[in-house]
Order: sequence, then C-alpha cells, then structure tokens
Amino acid sequence: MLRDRLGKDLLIFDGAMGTQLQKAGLGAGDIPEELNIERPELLQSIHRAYLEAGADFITTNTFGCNRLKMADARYEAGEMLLAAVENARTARKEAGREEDAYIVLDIGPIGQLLEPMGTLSFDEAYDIIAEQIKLAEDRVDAVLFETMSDLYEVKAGILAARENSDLPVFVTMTFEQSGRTLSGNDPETFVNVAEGLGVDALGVNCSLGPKELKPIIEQILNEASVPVILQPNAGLPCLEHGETHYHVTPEEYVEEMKEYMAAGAAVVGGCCGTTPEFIRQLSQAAPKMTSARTVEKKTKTSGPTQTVVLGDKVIVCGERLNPTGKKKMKKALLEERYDELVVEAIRQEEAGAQVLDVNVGLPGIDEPETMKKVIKLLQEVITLPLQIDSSNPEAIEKACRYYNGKPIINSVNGKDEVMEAVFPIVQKYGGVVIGLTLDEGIPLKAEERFEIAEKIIKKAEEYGIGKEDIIIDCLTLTASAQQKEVRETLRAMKMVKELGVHTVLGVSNVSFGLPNRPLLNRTFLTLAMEAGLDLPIINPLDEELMGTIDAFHVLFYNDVDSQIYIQKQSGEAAVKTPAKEVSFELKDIIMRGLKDEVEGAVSKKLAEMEPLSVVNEEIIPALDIVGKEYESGKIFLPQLIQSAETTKKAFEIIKESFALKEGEEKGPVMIATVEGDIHDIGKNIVKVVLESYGYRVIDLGKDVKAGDVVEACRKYQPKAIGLSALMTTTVASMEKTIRALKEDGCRAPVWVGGAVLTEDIAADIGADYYTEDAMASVNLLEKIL
Amino acid sequence: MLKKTALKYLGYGKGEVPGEIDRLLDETILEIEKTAQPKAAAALFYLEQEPLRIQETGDRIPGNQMKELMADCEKCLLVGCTLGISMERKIKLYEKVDMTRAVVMDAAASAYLEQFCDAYEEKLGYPDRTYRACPGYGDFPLAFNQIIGKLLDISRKLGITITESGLMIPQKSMLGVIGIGDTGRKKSCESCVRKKDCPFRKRGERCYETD
Repeated sequence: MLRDRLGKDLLIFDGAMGTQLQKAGLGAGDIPEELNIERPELLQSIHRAYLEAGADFITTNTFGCNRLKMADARYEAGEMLLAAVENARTARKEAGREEDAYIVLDIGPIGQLLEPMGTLSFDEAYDIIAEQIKLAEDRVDAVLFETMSDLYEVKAGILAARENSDLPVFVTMTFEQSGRTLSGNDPETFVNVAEGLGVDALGVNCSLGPKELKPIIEQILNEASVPVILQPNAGLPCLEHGETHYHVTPEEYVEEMKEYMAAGAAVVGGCCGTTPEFIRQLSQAAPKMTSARTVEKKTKTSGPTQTVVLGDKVIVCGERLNPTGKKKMKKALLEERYDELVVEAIRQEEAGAQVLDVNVGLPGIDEPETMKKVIKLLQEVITLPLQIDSSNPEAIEKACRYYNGKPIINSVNGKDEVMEAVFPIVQKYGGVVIGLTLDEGIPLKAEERFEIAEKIIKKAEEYGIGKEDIIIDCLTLTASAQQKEVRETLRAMKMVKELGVHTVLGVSNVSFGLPNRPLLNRTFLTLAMEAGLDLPIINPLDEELMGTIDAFHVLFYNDVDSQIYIQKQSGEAAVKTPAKEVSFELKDIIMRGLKDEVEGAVSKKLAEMEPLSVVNEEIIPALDIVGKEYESGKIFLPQLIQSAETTKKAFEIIKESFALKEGEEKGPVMIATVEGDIHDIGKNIVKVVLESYGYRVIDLGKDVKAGDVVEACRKYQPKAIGLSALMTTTVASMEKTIRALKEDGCRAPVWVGGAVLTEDIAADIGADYYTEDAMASVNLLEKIL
Repeated sequence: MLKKTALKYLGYGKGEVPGEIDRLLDETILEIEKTAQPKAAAALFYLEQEPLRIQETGDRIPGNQMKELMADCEKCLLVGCTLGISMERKIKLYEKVDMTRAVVMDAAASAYLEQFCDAYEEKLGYPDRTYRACPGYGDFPLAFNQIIGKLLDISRKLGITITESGLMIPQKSMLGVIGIGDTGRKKSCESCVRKKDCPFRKRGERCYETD
C-alpha cells in the first residue's frame, strides 16, 4: 500500500514531461494532451524511461486535461485523460514494475481564477476536477495537484478528490522568488490549510531550481506534519531564441537535493528541465528511508494569504460582525446590505484586529446561505483569518466549505450532541474549534469547567482533532449578576492552560449592567491575559482596550525593547486629534468634499433647523452646484465622488438621529454589473453618487447572472434598474439580462452604461435609457422617477 | 510623467488640480509602489507575411492595423505585464470604504502599469521596434489575447487569467505585440474604438498626435 510506504520509504517521482515532449517535437502552443491519443508510443517510452531510471511514480500526461482548458483540443478532455492513464499503465507493465511503481493522475491549475477575484465559482471548479477524478479513480494509485498557485483551487481539488475517491492526494504549489505564489499564498498558510483538509503529502514544484527554493523548502520541512514532496526545476528558466533552457546539471541538482533528503523530504523528483538522467542520479543518491523530522505542533488559523499563530502573543479577535445588540447591523443583514459588514470588517482590521468573528444569526434569516455570501464578500478584500460564529451546524459546514483558509469555529460545548454534529465538520475541512466549558448550564466552579474542557479534548481526539486545534473558552460571567464567580473564570483558565490548549474569552460580558463599562473591560482583560488568555474577543475600535494589550506585551516581555508600544504611544499617533473645529458652512463642506468635517457641520445645522430643511435647503442645493460644475468640466470625477461621499455621510447622520420617514428616501433602484464582467468600479461610482442624492440603491454586485437580476427584481420591486458592462464581449450578457427582465414582465425602466456603450448600442439591445456617467444617471432618474 | 498620466485619466489633463486631489494622488502612488507586484514576460517569434501569422505556431494575426504595422517586421515580441492580484484587492478594498481614493488609485495604477510596461520593453533591448499593439484596439480583435496568453503561458508565469468574456484578471494587466524592424509608424487615434466619443478629445486633449 502506497499510504503505508509514504513517509517511511524515500520514494522517487519522475521528472519533466513537457521537456521530453518538446524534445520530441512538441511546438509552442501545441496541446500536449493530444499526443496521448496521437502518439501513445512516445508517451509510453517517456514513462518507461523514468521507471527504468528508478522512479517509483509516473505522472500521467494530463496537466491541463480539464474541459475548460481542452475546449479547443481535437479530442474530448475525458478521452485524452483515459488515453494518458492507459499509456502509463502500459509503460508500467512493459517495465515490469506493476508491483512497486505507482501511477499518479496529474492535475494542473484549471486556468480560470476562482471567485471572488475571478469568475469561476468554487462549485464549478470542484465539478471540473471531480470529473477528472471520477474518470480515472479506479485506474490510478494517487492524485497529484501540481504547479498550483491558488490555495482556494487547491481546496476545491482536495475536496473533489476526497469526496469522489479513496486515492492518496498529493499537492505541490509553485512559489515565486518572493516566497509567495502568484495568488499571494505563503508556505505556512499552504501547509496549515492543506493539512487541515487531509492531504497525504504536500510540497513544492516548478518555477525555481532546488537552490533558489531553499528558504521555502526549509520552511515546509519545518512545519509540515505530513510527508513532504519536492519537484524543483533544473534551475531558473532562461529564454533563448524562443526556447526555454535550464542550466543546472543532474550532478548539481542531486547535490542540492541530497541536503533536503537528509532534512526529511519523503518524495523527490523533478519538474521543468529535468530528464530521466536526473532521476537516475537522484534515485542512486537517495537513501532508502525518509529521514525523521520533528515538527512542533502549533495552533494556527489562516485566511487566504496569511496565518496567525496562537500562543506567542495575545491575538485580538474583532467582535463587531455580530447582529446581537446592534440595530444597524441587524437591519443591514435583513436587507442584505452586506457591504456594511465588509466596511465594519475593514475598520476592525485597520484598528489592529488579527482575526474577525463572523456571526450572521438572526431569526428569519437563512443562516447557511447568508454565511456563505458574507464570507465570500469579506474574503474579496480581507485576508485576515475569520472565526465562524454559529450554533447552526449547517451554517458552520457551509462556511467551512466555502471559506478560503483554515478558520476558527465558534463553537462546541460539553454536550455530546453538539460535539457530534460539529467535530466531523472540523475533521473534514480543517479548523481550529472553540470549546465552551458549559453543558446543561455554566458550572460555577473552576474545577467543573476544567472537567468539561477535558471532556471536549478527549472527545475531539476520537475524531482525530488534536489539542493544537482546540481553544477553550472558560466563559466570562457578568460582574453585576455573578460577582463572586468572575474570579472562577480566571482560575479555570489557569487550570485549562495546564492541559496544553489555548484559551479564548469574550471580554465585554463582564461589565454588563454597570457604569463605565470600558474601565471594567480593560481591567478584566488585564487579569485574563495574566491568567493565560490567548485570544480575547473584543471591540478593536476601543483604543484604550487595545492599548492595554500593547502595555501587557511590554510588561510580559513579548514586545522586546517596547518597540511596538513606543511606536504607538509616542509621537503623532498618540496625540488625540481633537474634534475638528467647524470652520466651513455645511454647503462649503459638501462642495469641497470634506468628509471628516461633515459631522460637526451637520450637528450644528440640526440645532438650528428641521432635519428636512437641512436636506432640502443646504445639502441638495450644494450637491446640485457640484453636479453642474462636473458637467461643465470645472471639476472632475474625484471631486464629484468626494462630495457624494460627504453627502452620504451627512444623510447617515441625519437618518440616525431623526429617522427620516419612509417617503423621504428615493427609489429603491437596483444596479448590477452583468454576467462575465468583473470590473465594477464604474457601477460603484454610480452607486455612491446616487446615494448622495438620497436614493436607496440595491447593489447586486458584479458578474451577476440574468436570472439573478430577474429574481432580485421580483423581490425588491425596484423603480429602475441600472446595468453596467465594460467590454464589448459582455454587452451580449447585458442584452440577455434585459430580455430576461422584459420576458418576466418587469416594468421598471432599464438604464445602461459602461465604457463601450453608446446611445445606439443601448437602443439595439433593448435598454430604455443610456447614461454616459454617474451624474447623467442621477439626472435621468430625477427626470423619469 | 506617472502623475501626469494619472491626472489625465482622472480628467485633469488641462484643468486645475485641487491640492487635496494632488496630495491624495501622491499618497496613492506610494501605496501602489508598496502593494503592486509587477511581473512581466516576453517571447520572440518569427513572422510570416500575407497573411500575417506567427511562423512557429501558424497563429494568424488578424486585422488591417496589424498588417500595416508589421509590414516591415521579420519578428515580433509577445509581451505581458501585470501589477498582480494584491493591487486588485487593494483597489476593491478602497471601493468599499473610500471611493475617492479608489478612483484615484485605479487611475494611478493604470498609469503605473503603463510606465512599467514601457520600462520593461526598453530593457528587452530592441531599438528598431514598433509601438506596442494591444488586442481590443482598432481592428485587432480582443480574442487575440487568448493566443498571446497561450504562447506566453501567462497564467503560470504571470498569474493572469483571461475570462470567457475576454477580460483579464488582474485588471491591471497588459498583453501586446511588438514588431521588430520598425519603419517609424506612430500610434495614432485613428484606430481607437472610442474615437467618436472620446472623453479626452471632448475636453480638447488627446492621447496621440495624429489621427
């Protein structure tokens, strides 16, 4: 069994396929997979040569053999894939290696970027890969995802392999000299996420030679608990006369690789530029057994491109993405205005949060679906690890499946049925799980909470979840109600730390019902940190609370030479900026776009006049002047937007303090960037400007399918629908969307805009109106609504 | 030059730039320098004339504009440049919290990419080269991006993907063809798709000297 040998015997992979095919006449731009059918004997001879050179693995010639990449090939992807597998099997048989050589199904990147940065959905990526796996599953010995540069695609691949086969899964990613992949993934995050998903071996291939890959390889050997696989190139590629050459000799290559084998690499082979001769020398130089490595287990949570390690320092988890007790966020969630959550997330990151808790639980909300949507939107702009906060296992599962990284899962408790529902999810997708020390209720005594912690750790072990993936919450009690027990939490935490796990606490509960809550919060936080708290869940916008942590790090020698503390507490940063003197009138502030000064000016006006008069006599006239100046070319886009954003802020302040009546909000209008188009800055500009004129704008986002626009139209009954397309190629999907809307009986007028559109094209595709820019959109809506 | 180009994209080609926008632009350029991960790749191919094609692969280079531009060229360079996905993410982030900054950064990043491409081209060292022609302009079809993408292996080398609708991700990316053996043809406004409703021309500015 391959799995039994992996990590014990030192195994040898084959070398480059492409280099061999090019030698045999494959030209630039040719499709290598076609040769599987056209020249089977060539493929078989390459495989044979590697086997004869001593390779234990041969890789099928299927790097790009998926239905997307093979769309222009002369044969079906599946046909070429099966032919490739047959070629490998024939070669293995002919080489007499059926007993001890393995055939690996080779899968390279799909070639399309996944959402949210790209257009390919996670499910589509999964399906494309699953197709390949299902076809070959009973005819190969392992699957290799190689030359990967996007960890999210790796995740789709691992899940597709594990859910559709029992094959061992190997993953190698390709790193640039910067130490990251082209998608920004670093080795630590790769290891953390891929191991969480249960890969059998992981490592690096391609892009650089063994020498240049040294820092990356060393890091992976230091951190990976699973066997490590290495397939570097034969040095850096050099382009000469239109051909790529590699200059490292087999001798030099093997010399470098010896060092990595001694350091514990379990599977070694080669990538671009390597040949059977490289593999022959490598296999001769390789010791029989894999050298032992020791890997320190750590508690790590990852976002798409960064990993946070618990234990070295106190890590701040931002608590604000949670509707509990927050009217505004509740409303935003119910009205699906998820952008507000994204803004809140960005604010917390700017304030120094290193992990963000995400809770979308509200009565009447489809929690699993909302969780999925919100996570996707957050991960478009935020790379911090997220903490999935839900008591609904279905929502947890969905979040874990679509999350890009290794999340923290908040939470399980001492009840068996809760652990039995959540632990399988943690085990399958990888995650760090929070265990609350309660079962039927919160025990009063520290000893009882400690017992529950022990129970959780023991139960997790049955699911293969190690201590490093558990964080215990000893539960903060409220001083106003259970003053005597507050200290039990601290005591329990000290005891729990002895079990070798990390700890988390929601801090602010302690002060509920008492005056000057911040004071109690930071005092309790200080005590808790001293008792061993690793992950406080707090409001990072509370500067004094955050300062307490910085101070703690100085006193506990975590901030050596007090560098961070000094940087934050001295100089300009620490000098509190006093509330800005209101030096301009509201009208001027709007015309100049002074966003930071608008709050004071609005308050001043509100003291003098009715809210509605402030809007009609101050804000709107100022905005009109801005609009006219823009149209006449006196000011330009950045200034228009500045004024619009300032106005928007003014409206928010007025709304918050006086709750403008329903009728005073215009619209709603709906906007979307059509399917296939992902560049939506233009649409977002329109949104800001419309909002500044008091419109309620429902923003469906980018790359929106016609069907989704129709569905949203039924749901929201907008007064008008704005569609945006940037490219000639996506004007077609704009036309499709308009047709679908009309066919569905939607009577709201549709206006269109975008770089390539004109009046004529708009008329051709059945739009009711065309607008040139954001200001024209306002003018149009003011006219027709 | 970078600033000047960015200001032109933002509309301030001729008009006065308010101090705040000017400061914002300076800040943005610093941030781009920190955020962008510029990468470039190029490959040299032989050309065949009538019909114009890449000799090694047989791929046709369609359109009259290219036929004319490459008329005296024996070879061509395919080039690709990108500012990377981190730049994309940064602009999107500002679209959520500070639209003004997003718009300024978007323009500045375009200018930055342009400058990076120019510098890269210069470094490749072909003094007798034509200007860089990009698919999507004039009658050089956008679909040719797919050919350049394939021959340069851009998803692997640069991390650029081309969507089914022909968009490049990251958006701040460029693919182009440069002829070797120039006879001095200049880029003109003639072949631009936006010639009829060019926002720059409306303001009395232009990108190229001739039509």
